[in-house]
Amino acid sequence: MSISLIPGIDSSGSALDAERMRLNVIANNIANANTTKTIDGPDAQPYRRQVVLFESVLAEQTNGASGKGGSAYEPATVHVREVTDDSRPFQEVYQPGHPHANAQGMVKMPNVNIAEEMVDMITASRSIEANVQVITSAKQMVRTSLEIARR
Amino acid sequence: MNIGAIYSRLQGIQPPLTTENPAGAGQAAGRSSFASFEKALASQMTESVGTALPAPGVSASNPVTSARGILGQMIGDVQNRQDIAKEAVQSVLQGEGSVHKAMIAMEEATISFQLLAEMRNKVVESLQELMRMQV
Repeated sequence: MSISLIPGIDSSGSALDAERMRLNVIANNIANANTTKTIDGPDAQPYRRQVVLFESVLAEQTNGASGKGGSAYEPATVHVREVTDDSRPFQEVYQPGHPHANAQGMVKMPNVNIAEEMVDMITASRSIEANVQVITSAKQMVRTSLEIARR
Repeated sequence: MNIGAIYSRLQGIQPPLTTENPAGAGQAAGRSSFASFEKALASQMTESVGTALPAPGVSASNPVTSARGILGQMIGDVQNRQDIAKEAVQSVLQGEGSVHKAMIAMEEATISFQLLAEMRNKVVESLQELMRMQV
């Protein structure tokens, strides 16, 4: 892949990828908010909320950073490190008629809080909007530079 | 790559006029001054463009030294970016790729092509300016 013409597009493109993965995970959490058993079987657990972990990946440092003054700035990209489970305990609801109820009539529900997921969803969509705005501004900057040559 | 720096350099290129044959050999002088102008243009373009855009197939140890070679290199880069954009759009239609990657690839291909068009305009304009000087 050759060098990009639009400045900052590596960082913003990677952020759009990462936020898209986060939205997928949030959608999965909300869809499974009432799943009491993930698989069939006696020891199956309810759905456990999933969390996305981001990490920042710095580009390869050039040799200019070692001796000369004013090292080149290497932009960092965002990368999804892993999708892990939230370790909070399951919620227990008293529903004696439920097929998955235990001897005391308690049913374990997933540890998904819908309000929390909605806030995360708003954060992810605003982050996507901000990154798209960065790309748009950078693109406009490049277009304006191209106009130097036109009469 | 600073596009602004490239264009200010292209604007500042003055074709060197030969003063050794003032009379009669207008066309020969035009041709020789165009050759030296082409070398000056190529050296300035190599300085600001050639190492910033590594197109496939050209290594750093074999620098392109003619204006025609540099334009060919840029055409190769435009073709490369358009192929990448086409593949990205196809992967979106097949459901595997992300939409924003395809959009970014298309935008890069467009800007690269516009840059090539501007360079071509500059070279043609300089050539016309030079041809107008024959008396």
